[in-house]
Amino acid sequence: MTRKALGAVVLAVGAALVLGGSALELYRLDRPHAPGSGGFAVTSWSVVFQSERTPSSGRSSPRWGYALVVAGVLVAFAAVAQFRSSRLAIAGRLAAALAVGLAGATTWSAYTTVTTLFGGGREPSPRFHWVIGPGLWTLAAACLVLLVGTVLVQDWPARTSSPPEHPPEDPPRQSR
Amino acid sequence: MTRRVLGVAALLIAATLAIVGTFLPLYEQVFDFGETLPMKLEQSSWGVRRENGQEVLGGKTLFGVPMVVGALLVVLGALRAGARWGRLAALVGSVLLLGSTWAVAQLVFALWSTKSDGAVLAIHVTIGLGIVVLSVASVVAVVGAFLVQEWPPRAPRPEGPVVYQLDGNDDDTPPFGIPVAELPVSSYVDTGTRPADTGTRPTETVTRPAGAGPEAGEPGGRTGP
Repeated sequence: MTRKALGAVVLAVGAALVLGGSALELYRLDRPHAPGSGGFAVTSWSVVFQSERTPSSGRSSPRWGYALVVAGVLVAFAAVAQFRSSRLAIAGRLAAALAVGLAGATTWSAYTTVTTLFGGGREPSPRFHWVIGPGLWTLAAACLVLLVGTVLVQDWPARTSSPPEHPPEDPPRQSR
Repeated sequence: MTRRVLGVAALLIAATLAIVGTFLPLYEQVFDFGETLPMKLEQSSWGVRRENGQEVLGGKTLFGVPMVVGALLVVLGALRAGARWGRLAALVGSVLLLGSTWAVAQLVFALWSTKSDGAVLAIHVTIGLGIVVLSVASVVAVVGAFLVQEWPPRAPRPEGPVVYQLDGNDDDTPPFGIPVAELPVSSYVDTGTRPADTGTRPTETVTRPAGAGPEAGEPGGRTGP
């Protein structure tokens, strides 16, 4: 398998991770001793409250999923474009670089939001318990995979062969 | 000013705007409790502060980390725009900046669109100048990153007519299309007499000097523009 084909496969895995992570739970705050009476869960699309007194409907949430879906589509295009024409391959390499920035920035922003603004950095109360959800771990892994795949599919210039520092010495002449 | 110089200038301007924008307020929240004085919170890319400068949350909301990393990559790309890795760094940095701003804007928009009932507590959210500056910086950075890229040169446009010559013996199809069927010379002969009251237009007689070539649209004449 060539380097470019390997990069395309890695990018395809990264696209699946980004799109999958956008659908999973990013953060959860609940009450272990009284389940269903408080707490909430955050995904890339919504904030789901578990309390019966605070319904989830009508509450807006930071929908990071839009940027993640755009990043996933860009990566999927980059993976497919490597096997198409050279012009599409160039566009695919650019799309992969765009997706790395987009996914990385969104993942970091989601992480810093749930760990500070939503109280994930410290326990708000002994009665509550918070946990980083599988979505955030998946997105973090996706960023690393995307970075590797983007570097692999790049068309790096060929290295020029450097002359040897110590040229081989002439063979000793034999005297008759 | 060449395209690459313009791109480098755009990248440097964008990085400066991004660094400045991280210290500006992203949004302001005013908590109105009714009877007591309202509390005003200001969120920047480095934390939440009250109006007296006191920090509110124990942890810092570090939205600015990917923005600063993106700005540094953009500066690196501007300084090394001649190298391929430099141009790639500029592209990744600009989109890191764009993605960070997008994610923060989603959060600010969610807070701004949340409706409080106002019975006990009314929350008013105002979008800050930081979002505007960061948005402008992101767009300028992306434009600059695309300007410094090395695009493949376009093929020069031909000045004259383009003739595609097919390889091999291709006698069935003439190179200039299907020739017009030639009519016998007798069909051009005009009697010169005007038809009397027929209501039809008389046939025009074409007089041409001897030796002149055929005109467009005639047999053997030009077939194209």
